[in-house]
Amino acid sequence: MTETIQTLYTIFNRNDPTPTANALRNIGFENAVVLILGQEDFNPRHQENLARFKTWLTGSPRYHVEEEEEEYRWPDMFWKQNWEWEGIDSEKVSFLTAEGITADLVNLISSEDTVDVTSGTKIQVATLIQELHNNHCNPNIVLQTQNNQTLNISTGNLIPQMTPLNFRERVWLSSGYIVDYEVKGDPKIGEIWIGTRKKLSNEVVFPKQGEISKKLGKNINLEHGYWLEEAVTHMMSTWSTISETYLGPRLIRPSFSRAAGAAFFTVVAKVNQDKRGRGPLTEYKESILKIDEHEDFEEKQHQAFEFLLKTEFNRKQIRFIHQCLHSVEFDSVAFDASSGKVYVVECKAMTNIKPGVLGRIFAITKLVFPTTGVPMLAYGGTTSTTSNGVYQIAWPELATEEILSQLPKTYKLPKSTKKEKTQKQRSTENNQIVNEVKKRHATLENTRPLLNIIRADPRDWLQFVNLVTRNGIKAKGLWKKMEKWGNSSKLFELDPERRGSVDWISFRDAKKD
Amino acid sequence: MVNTLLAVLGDSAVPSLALLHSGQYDNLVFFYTKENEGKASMFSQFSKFAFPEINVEINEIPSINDPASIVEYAKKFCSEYKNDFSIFATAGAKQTILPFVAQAPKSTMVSLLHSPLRLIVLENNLEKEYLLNGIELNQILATRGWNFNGMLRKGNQQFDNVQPRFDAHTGRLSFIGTSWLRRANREDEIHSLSKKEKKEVQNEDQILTGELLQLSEDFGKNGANYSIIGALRSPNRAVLPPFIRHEMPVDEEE
Repeated sequence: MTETIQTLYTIFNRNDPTPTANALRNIGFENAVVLILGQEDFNPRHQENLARFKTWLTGSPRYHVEEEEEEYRWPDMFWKQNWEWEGIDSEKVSFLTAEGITADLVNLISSEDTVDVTSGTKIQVATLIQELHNNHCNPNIVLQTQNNQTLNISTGNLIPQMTPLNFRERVWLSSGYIVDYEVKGDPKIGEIWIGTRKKLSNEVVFPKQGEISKKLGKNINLEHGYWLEEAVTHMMSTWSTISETYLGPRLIRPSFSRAAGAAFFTVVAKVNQDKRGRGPLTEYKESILKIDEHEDFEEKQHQAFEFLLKTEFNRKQIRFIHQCLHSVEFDSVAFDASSGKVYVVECKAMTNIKPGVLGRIFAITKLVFPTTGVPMLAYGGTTSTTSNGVYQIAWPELATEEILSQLPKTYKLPKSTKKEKTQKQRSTENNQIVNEVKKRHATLENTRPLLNIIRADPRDWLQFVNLVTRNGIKAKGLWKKMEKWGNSSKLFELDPERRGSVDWISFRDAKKD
Repeated sequence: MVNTLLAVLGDSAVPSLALLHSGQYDNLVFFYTKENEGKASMFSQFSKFAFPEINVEINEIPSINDPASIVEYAKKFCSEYKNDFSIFATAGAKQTILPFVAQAPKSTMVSLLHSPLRLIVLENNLEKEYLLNGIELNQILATRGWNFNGMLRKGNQQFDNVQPRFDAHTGRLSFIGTSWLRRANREDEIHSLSKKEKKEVQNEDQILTGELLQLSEDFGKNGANYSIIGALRSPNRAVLPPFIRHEMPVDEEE
């Protein structure tokens, strides 16, 4: 149990309010004072971050946007209670604005208080620590660590999280979106995906359809990529460090009028696609398309808004519209509570990945989680690596979190999935494969895929040797062998002087991939 | 008396390089966590090569995920050095540098400010300023393994459409990408592209965004300004992270 302390002082973090919110959640207090330093220099983004933080305290983003008309607020019909979180008692939290760390401010603090220094510039905080020391004032000086514990920076004492911020709160604080999701990752289902045999079809790794469908008790359709999103969400939920995973979370703007605009656009597209007329909004098809015909954009928006607000939809229709309200959608996300990282995963059941796709994954990850977001692509290929700054992982490798420290790595389809084997053989097959590959001597043929990896993702000689050995190839005498291969194949040249850098190898045709 | 400065090697490249240029310290002691091992290794190679006359010590401290051990490390270090050092408070995560401040609160604090780029030394409530000169773009890039010779390169990686800039007066590093439509001088056609062209533009601009994001991993999202100049189609514009600016320059009329 964390003791309740007298007063908690914390500085508002203008670039991302998450650490300030973390402090209020993690540290027990009777009163909290949030210091807003240098507000006169806040830019519009900082001001919006402050407004969002104040909304977070209330526990609901429903009234965050002050719409021009009251009727433009979120109607009960479309608002979900589970989009909210537990608020903070507003009477216990006060705000104090100051230009910087002033003597008056330092004099407010007593030795019984706690000062959270997670936010504010480092020089502001260093000055604060020095001034407190000069005043012979010894409060607990703490900060929120990246893995969401409270660290006393003088003693090194760590206090575990009290009530960690959930995924929904984190998204709200860092980007201002409301999160809607329907399926949470389940480690038991993840184990089923992990234990199901895999097969290669046109070089894409699939689960055995009959087997996975039988085990899950529902038909898994491999024709649609959706199975991969499901597999990834449940598989990553088995990782020891992952506390939450979600399938296809949708991020919705806090303004209902803007969300409604996005929804209507999607509704029109879906109604147009629904050639058989079996969709949930079929009865309104005519009115929807009539609204869409308006050429005046503002008028169209107004009509669309009125339609969504004044129509009496049934539950099925409301659920359908909920699925259209978002501006951003992720295939899967996983929150790592030990490091504070959020893995944003795009799923592609294919092997051919364009660099543009990787750029897009990187962008949407950093859009929502500028600091803690980690972009990841789970795909149907067999090579796991880091490409263009994005983890690109062969999906079966997501069975274990260790894959991220073993990159690059080539996924080997266990032999037992090609031919039926006994359970015992299956359980030892991974070890057998490792033993088999350990015996391999380096040849140009078996090293070439690894050379392709470092060509796209350069690394120094030692890192390359690690890569080679991790892939079951002996590295003894590798340099000499590679010199010979380079001379004979003319594919690359080695520079022994530059083994400490990534320039130890230069590919002769490496102008641009 | 040896004049020692402690600093953490953080994500941004300019602060640590500025210390090498400052000429104020006989002994620079840098710390890095294993998460920044790659950057530390490149910085070490660079400092040995470019500043052989400066005594640079580079020490690994415990992982950022083991903050209690960082505090223990700071306690031990400060006791061994008898708190006889200054602390550079501008670089590194708070949980790496503040334990040193907490152990040695009487130390002189040093920070870096821009516009103009200068070192601020705060000792006994007295502030001294030292203007920093001589920092060059290619030095900054080299501390992260990059170089620029008309084209940005790191090993076999090369970014054709991103221009790096360093304003020596303000001390600001910038990476500026040019959108596909601007490169092709077809910004006026943004709404009239064929479906095939839209796809190509989308892919090319996604690659450009990805390149800026990769640079932000090497130089820190707050360690440089990142921007894309020129018309961008909406799907790409809508997903730009907040630290990448989109600019539509007003072309001068001939």
